[in-house]
Amino acid sequence: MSDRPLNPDPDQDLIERSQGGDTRAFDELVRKYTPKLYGLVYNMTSNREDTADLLQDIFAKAYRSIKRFQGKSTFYTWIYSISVNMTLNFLKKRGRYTKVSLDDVDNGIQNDPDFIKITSGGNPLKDVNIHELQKRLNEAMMKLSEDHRTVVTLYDIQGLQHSEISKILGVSEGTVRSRLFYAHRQLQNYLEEFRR
Amino acid sequence: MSEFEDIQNIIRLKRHEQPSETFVEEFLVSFQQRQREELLNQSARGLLWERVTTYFDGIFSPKASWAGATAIAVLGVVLFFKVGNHQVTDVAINDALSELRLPQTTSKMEPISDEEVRSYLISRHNEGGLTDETEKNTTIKGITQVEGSLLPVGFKLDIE
Repeated sequence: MSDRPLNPDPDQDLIERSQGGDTRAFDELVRKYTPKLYGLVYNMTSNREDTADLLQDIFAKAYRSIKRFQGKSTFYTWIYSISVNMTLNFLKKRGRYTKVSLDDVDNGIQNDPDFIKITSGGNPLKDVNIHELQKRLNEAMMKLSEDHRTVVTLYDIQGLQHSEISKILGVSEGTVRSRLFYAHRQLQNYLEEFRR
Repeated sequence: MSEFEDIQNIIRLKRHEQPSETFVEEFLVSFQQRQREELLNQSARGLLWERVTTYFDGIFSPKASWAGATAIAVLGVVLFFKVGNHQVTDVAINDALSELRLPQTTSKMEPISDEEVRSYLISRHNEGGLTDETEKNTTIKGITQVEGSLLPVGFKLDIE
């Protein structure tokens, strides 16, 4: 079975130009993937300074390796794999010491149906402060193991499919589902008070 | 409906945590600046090491890539010293051979002094061998040789 993705890579043109030494093409890839990878790294580290530094390292590594990218996976999967591996390595080095520095919550949360549901009448936490909610969510995430936090970030926050996560992490879909199950069960305990 | 759906919905609220709107462009500028600084500051050895490890990253697992790069580096060092030893051995052999050949060559002999050269020339001239006749005034039947001057070829024979 071929390793090549079934669908053509939407980034093919930018990749080929980057491989040919066109730095502007690589800049376009950086523009396109920075918001997505920021979300991934930030939700795994809960620290925005570490996130910015790690993103620099991730794109630097991708830039140095782009010529050897053979298209066996999509660029999307490839850059996500680099990001996850580098973030996990960083977290291992950082150890238990965690300095939390959180991003601002955008105004969109006020209109988010899930946020409305949490803060609607009848919920004991209807008057919950957004910043308090943010703090509690991040604390709960940081209590998860790194492997569990990774799948929760990729699946629940980033909205990736099990199959995509499986390719990025290099594990079976069954492992992804299993990790998600245990992660959700832990989160249920940590965030009990937010549930109806 | 998943038994964890409500938890998933709460966790999804984290999507609203966002960096500032200018983050991406500022990030790109600092990324480009960092690339230029790296190119200027990184030593040749550092660049080589980085490229070797990056090359193996794409082929093997991270652990294996480090092991591979280290193995290559060790191999390089071993080869370097082995070649160095060969060169030292060659020099030693050449020295020994040259010492053995020394009697046959004049490369290490003392240079001949002008005085000695002069004595050989005189002796050839006289064909009388190396005598001290050139250093004395010789008087034979009214012929007086002035010290340092030359006598004609066959003079000795004529005398005899």
